[in-house]
Amino acid sequence: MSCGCLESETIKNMSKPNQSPSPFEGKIASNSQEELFLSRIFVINEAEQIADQTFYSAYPEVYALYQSDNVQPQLEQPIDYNHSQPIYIAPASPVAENSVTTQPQSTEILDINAIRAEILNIPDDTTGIQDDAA
Amino acid sequence: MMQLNIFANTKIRREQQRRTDMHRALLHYEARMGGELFGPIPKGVRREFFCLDKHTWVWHEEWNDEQGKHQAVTTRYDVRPSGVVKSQGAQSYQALSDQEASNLYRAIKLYKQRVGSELVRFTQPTV
Repeated sequence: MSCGCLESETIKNMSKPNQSPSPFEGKIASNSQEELFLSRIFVINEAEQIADQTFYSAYPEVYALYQSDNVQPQLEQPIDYNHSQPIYIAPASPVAENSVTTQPQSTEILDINAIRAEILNIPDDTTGIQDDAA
Repeated sequence: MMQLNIFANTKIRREQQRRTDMHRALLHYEARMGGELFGPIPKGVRREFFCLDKHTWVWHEEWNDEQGKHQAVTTRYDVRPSGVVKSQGAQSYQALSDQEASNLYRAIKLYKQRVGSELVRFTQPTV
């Protein structure tokens, strides 16, 4: 069943994601952490390329519209979060790079520093068992 | 000899667990950044959008309805050569509307630009 009632939903007060400086800049990630980051970058690049191919062939109008670089974000109705049925079936239109931005209004500000710490502070235990054995 | 094998197996398990933890943390980070691509997230709403693998994108949203009941929806988008299909819970695959396809494509492009560039920054520390 496809509701479709929110398929064209976009969001007011568009903003860029919170981009706070990282305390980890200048800090070298371990080899295995770097491997993980590189593997994710590779996956994302591949996913984008696959999407390009799919949209080129299966949604040529969507592809052409994006390539024309004339797509502007539309201000539409805010999402009605009072609904009780799982009707949210489409991502809202993302924020265009060249759109006018405002400061995030969300009360839950993305704490990138904390998230980076969560990732980078996972110990790179390459010698643990030797230490244990010793 | 047996003791060495136990140590070796323990080390392998610890390494696997560590990699699993790192991967989970990284996906969590990407998902939160991906959720922010769509603008500010309303109070009380949790929104995540991320690339699960090269063929799959996931949109997850949680909120409380007007009765205060917790609601959550996870939508999975499978990018196939013939087009994109989505699935929600036990529902069968559905085709996308043109608008939804457009939204998804723009989201994927932005995700690559923003989240991808963040990951690149992890691997290229400034001096």
